[in-house]
Amino acid sequence: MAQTTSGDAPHLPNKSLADHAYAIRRYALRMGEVQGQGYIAQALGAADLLSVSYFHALKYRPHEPEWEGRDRFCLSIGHYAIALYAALIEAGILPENEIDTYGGDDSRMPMSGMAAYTPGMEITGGSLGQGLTVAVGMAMGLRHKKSKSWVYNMMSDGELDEGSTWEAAMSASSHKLSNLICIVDVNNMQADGPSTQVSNFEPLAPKWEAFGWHTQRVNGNDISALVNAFDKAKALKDACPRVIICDTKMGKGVPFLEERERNHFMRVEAEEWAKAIAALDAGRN
Amino acid sequence: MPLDKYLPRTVKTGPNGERLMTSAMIASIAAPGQKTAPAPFGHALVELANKNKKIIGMSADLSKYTDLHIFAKAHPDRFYQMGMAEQVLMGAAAGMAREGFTVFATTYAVFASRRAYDFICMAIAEESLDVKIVCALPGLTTGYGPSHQATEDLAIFRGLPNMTIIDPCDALEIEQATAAIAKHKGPVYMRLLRGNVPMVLDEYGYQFKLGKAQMLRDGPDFIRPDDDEGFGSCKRIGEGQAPCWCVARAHHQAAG
Repeated sequence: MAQTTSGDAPHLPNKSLADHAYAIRRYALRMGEVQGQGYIAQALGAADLLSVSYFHALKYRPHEPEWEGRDRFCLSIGHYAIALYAALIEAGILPENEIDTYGGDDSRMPMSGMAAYTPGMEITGGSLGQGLTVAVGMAMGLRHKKSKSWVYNMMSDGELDEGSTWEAAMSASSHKLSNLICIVDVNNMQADGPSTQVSNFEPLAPKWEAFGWHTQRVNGNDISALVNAFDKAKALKDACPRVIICDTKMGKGVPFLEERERNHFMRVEAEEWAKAIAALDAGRN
Repeated sequence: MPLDKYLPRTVKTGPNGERLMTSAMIASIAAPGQKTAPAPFGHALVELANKNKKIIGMSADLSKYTDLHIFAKAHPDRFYQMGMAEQVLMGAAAGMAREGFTVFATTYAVFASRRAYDFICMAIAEESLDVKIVCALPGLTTGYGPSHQATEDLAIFRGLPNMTIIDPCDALEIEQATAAIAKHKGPVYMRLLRGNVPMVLDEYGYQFKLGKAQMLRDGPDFIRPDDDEGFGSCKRIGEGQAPCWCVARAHHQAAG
């Protein structure tokens, strides 16, 4: 794919969004290997939407993570920290040479994302269903300050089960938070099984629409579709929050992991990590 | 033994034949003749917000019952109505604080403590953010029963990291504590009496100090706290049919 980076993100020459997504997957696999376990299938699935977020949509300064003019990216699903660290490394906010500390004592990259530990981690997620509530407050605060910054909240489909998600959804539209973009990663897998079987949230797009959100649903592993969706969400003039529902594939990019059924907290044997990285490299366009 | 709900009842009366009952949303807990001050929290916050532009007020459909409506009227641009949704109230208060504001979030003590505890713990207390949680109907100050009676709020909030807890005893202390917590960096839980609140401490030249218990007057009824930290002082300050016990509690957990 010849997609080049554009938009507000810092310009990194000679790398396409697909290149960044590949790099994010590779960093995530390396962290998985260090810890021997983790939410690796989700990280592989979300790499494309993180690439588009960090290398197309978001405004930030890699060497000044708390720059007031930055866009805020809230990781509600702290479990996906492995994926966000990979994106933050690729973005130059976290150093690559700390990958081996992932999940270890005193690391800046704990297994569940925490704001106090990690540059670029805006909130402490992990208690699911909280991120969007905090993002609502940040969006209200930024608007109060007359800031032009955006607030992004990344959440999982499992978090749709939490009542607080819908409290926040109603509040965001009630307050007409047009500076808020929610990204819902729908990989249809949560702890006890396929999300739609655990608690059926479908039809999902009409739910968000009914809550007053501008709603788009795209293939979350199609970079062009994601770029168009982010661009459209930002260009809208409507006084309402925006949601981009992204259908993603668990384990995307590593065929033998894509095929695994029990993939929520995936068991990967020690020798399989190198095979996974090799498969990722082999499948690169 | 549980009450048998199938036994018929008759009206209960007191010694003067008066019908025995407990009021629901108590606008004034003052005994007849007791000096009071109206809405001490609301007026104190308006005063502080006149000078400090970073002060924000938020409520979950209970601004009127936490005296925050006085702030909302004086500073409508800085009042955020979050609806009857305590989880998003606390999460959004954290988000606002992350953007540099000092947020006063109000609801009833039961709803903050029981319903929104995880949000207060993770989004506010763990992060040591500048959110002041101010809650009405502390303890047994309502006749609405256990759904509205906060009997465990002090206990479970003391389990939170970085949280300062204040239980002011009268209008003067509410007014002074409001100023003190606005100045204090970090999360605070403050219990609140609303409406016409008894004024007691003005006779003593009292000045609230965060984390310090103070002796109002020496005397035979004084109960000395066990340690010098003074986590509680309790003294009898009135006489007559209904002696008034003034309990000035200032539970203050040091940050970290």
